[in-house]
Amino acid sequence: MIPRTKAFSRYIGTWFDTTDSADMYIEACERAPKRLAEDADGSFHAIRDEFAAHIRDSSNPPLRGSTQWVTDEWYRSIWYDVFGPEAPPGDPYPVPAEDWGSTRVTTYMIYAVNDEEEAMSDGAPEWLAARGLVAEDVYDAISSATLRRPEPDGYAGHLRRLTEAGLREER
Amino acid sequence: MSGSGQSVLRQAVESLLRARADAERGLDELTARVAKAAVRPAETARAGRHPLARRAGDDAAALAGAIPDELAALSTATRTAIATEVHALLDLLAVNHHQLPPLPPLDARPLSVPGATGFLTAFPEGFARSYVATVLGDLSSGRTTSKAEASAHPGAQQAAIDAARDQIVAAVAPEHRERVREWLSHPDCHAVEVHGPQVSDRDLEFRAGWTRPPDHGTEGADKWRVRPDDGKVISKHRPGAEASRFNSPAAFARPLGLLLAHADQYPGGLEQLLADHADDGAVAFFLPAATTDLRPGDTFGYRGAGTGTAEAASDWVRVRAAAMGKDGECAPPVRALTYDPVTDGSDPGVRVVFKEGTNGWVMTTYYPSTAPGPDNVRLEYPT
Repeated sequence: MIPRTKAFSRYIGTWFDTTDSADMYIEACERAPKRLAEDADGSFHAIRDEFAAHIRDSSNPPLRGSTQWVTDEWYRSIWYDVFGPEAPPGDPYPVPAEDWGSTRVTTYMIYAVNDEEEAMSDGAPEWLAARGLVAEDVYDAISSATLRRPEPDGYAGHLRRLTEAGLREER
Repeated sequence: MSGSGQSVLRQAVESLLRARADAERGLDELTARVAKAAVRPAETARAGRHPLARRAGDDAAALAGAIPDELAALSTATRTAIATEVHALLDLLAVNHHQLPPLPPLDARPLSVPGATGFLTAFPEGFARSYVATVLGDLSSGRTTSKAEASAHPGAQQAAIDAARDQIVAAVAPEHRERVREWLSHPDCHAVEVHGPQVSDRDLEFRAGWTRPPDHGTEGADKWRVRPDDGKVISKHRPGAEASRFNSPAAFARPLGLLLAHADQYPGGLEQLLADHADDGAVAFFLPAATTDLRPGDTFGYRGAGTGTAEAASDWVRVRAAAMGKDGECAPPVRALTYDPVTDGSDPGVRVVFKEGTNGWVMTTYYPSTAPGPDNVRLEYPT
């Protein structure tokens, strides 16, 4: 099992809550490419690798009042918002690439993307380009029908096997 | 807007729950009126001396008793119809949008009793009951505002912000005043502008409902506006589902005092405290209400109606984003209601964020909150 390191939980705790404002969340997403490029000591790559491992093993503790699946899906969306369209290595339930920005809407999309440049985050054009998305399509998706993925069949058994293999803690 | 997006489902659930309240109120009034309408002639007739008039009076009175029974049956049928629809919508929400198994069936028995309590217990425990509870519980107090009202709301006065800042600085311990003034005066800090005691109730209501910043109109504030030609809201201010403030300079100052006292005792002082908890030049602390001596009444805010669960809160934010679109294409306004983060929070406290700039650490935001965020670093008593 990869334990949740202090660096990883600090990363989550610093940037991704949007109760009062989405500014930090948006900044984290827009900062990530530069952080990866200038990561001399490899610390941000380590956070990224750990992020992928926790998605793979469902080893993040469930969010307040949420199930493990909802929590996993929250982290998958953050992964997309921060690291881009490629699913985290080893993800047992990768999101189909075409879902993003059409039937699956993320926090970054809701807050930072708009069909008007004036209402869009400064970094959004670059963010969209890196993911092959078009602002108007994403903006339309925010207010139209989108689906979240239901918990897959056999997920409880999947979690039990991960727990038995010592890859996650039962919570 | 079309199909079964969760914002559409969410609106449908809200409108049905409102319909329940309306129907119940309407039927109650009708029952009372019918009973009274029948009783009055009955009494009038009984007052007549002739035995026939008295008999008519007795008949009318008996009838008046029967009518409320039939109305009660109608009222139960109405509640059941609404509950069945809400249950079906929640089943869609649960399965398609919240990754949950299909809902257990509705229990119709409690629906024969009027009122919200029976209505609520008809829903299966868990997702459905807590979703209905959070929306139902907020409906009576939640209300909407219009884009036009948000747009016509007067702008903030810089002098009021400056005066509030002076009062806050005066309320902290003398040894911390200079630093607090420096923090709160920095152009990147919006703590006083957005969460200070000078922020009005209405400012917060428009921040929650339409993302209008409370410091609107002052230099450095977001240029939020409703575009006149199509009614679309244009803004880069990005509040979540809660908009809160400190009610007094003293309440604003107290948690800051604790943070600085903590820093004074921390090995290496404030710089080290921040450096030790930073990720890439940013720090987010949570200061619990109990240790910062924040009391009921010290804080206030508007939050989205029916945002008591994470699922419901995310649906509400989606509806708000859809409501801010162009006239004719937008969703109806979202409902918001007042709250006291300290009293209503599950684990209340204050969140504060610092960022490292070229000239050292800057406090960027600072606000009362109902709970810490996931993995939020918690500062307890200074050790």
